Amino acid sequence: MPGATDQFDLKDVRAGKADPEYVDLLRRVLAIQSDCEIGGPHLYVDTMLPEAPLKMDRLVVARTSAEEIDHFRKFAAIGGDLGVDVSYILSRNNPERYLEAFRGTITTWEDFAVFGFLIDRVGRYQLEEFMGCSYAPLAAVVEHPSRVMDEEAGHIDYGTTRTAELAAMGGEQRERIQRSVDFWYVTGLDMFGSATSKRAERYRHYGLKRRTNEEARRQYIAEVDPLIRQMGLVVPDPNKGRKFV
Amino acid sequence: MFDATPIREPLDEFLREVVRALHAAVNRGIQGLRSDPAETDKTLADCKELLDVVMAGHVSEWIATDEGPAKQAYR
Repeated sequence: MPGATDQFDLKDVRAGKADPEYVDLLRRVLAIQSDCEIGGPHLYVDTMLPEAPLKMDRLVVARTSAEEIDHFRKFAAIGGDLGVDVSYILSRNNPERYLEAFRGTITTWEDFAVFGFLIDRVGRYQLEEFMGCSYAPLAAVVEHPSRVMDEEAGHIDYGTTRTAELAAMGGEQRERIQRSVDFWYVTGLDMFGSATSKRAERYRHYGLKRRTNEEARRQYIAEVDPLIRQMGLVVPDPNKGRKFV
Repeated sequence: MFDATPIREPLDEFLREVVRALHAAVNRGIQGLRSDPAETDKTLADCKELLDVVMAGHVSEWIATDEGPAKQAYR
């Protein structure tokens, strides 16, 4: 029987070589990741595809959505191989999504920009957890030659650039983008989960994740706070409005 | 022991085709920005049509399996 952090392949899991708890955690993380990938387009396609400021921006909304749908497809395929059908996620209503960040609707260009800047960046942290993880097909989705991480980096760069541009306009525009940062910053911090999560420890035990929730959150704060200040914006209170600490 | 879900392959194929069509439309739209604005408007309409289908999530209309979709949902 392989150890807790050996790397498994599909045939190992199908042959019963993995602990049932491991398989259950794997299925769960695939369902959540699938939900997060398709959750983004569900937030902004209806509103931003027709209402983004420029035609080029609308094309970026379409391209971003295409890439997120493709990421969903890849995680859904891994789940499907493990006997998990996540197709119900495609039609669920936003309020039913696993993470709070995907339960509303994005109705302003400021929110779309900051979503890319802050929330897609949290998504990159979540995906980084799978690099070299103990389930080989999952690791392969985020490792070279897969384009998933590059595509996520593109979403983050686009959101960061648009956020900086809007902040640089000053006046009311700056106030609007600050309000978006205020909202998404704490939402993003909560996405890392509770610092005392027992399940997160089990993910690490089995090599499905590397960092603790709090480690990842601290690294994220260290990355984004300077960026927010460079834009001339105010870093929100990291404890105000938080649901998971 | 378990097998892949019946929906795994057809869903993968359907979404792969949608993504391919979306990328093709976006690329045409970007080219149109320089030379043919009407083409960009058309490709944006194409993107909307494709994305509306995926966002509606009517999986049973996209694919057909003996067991039907979403019977083994993991929630």
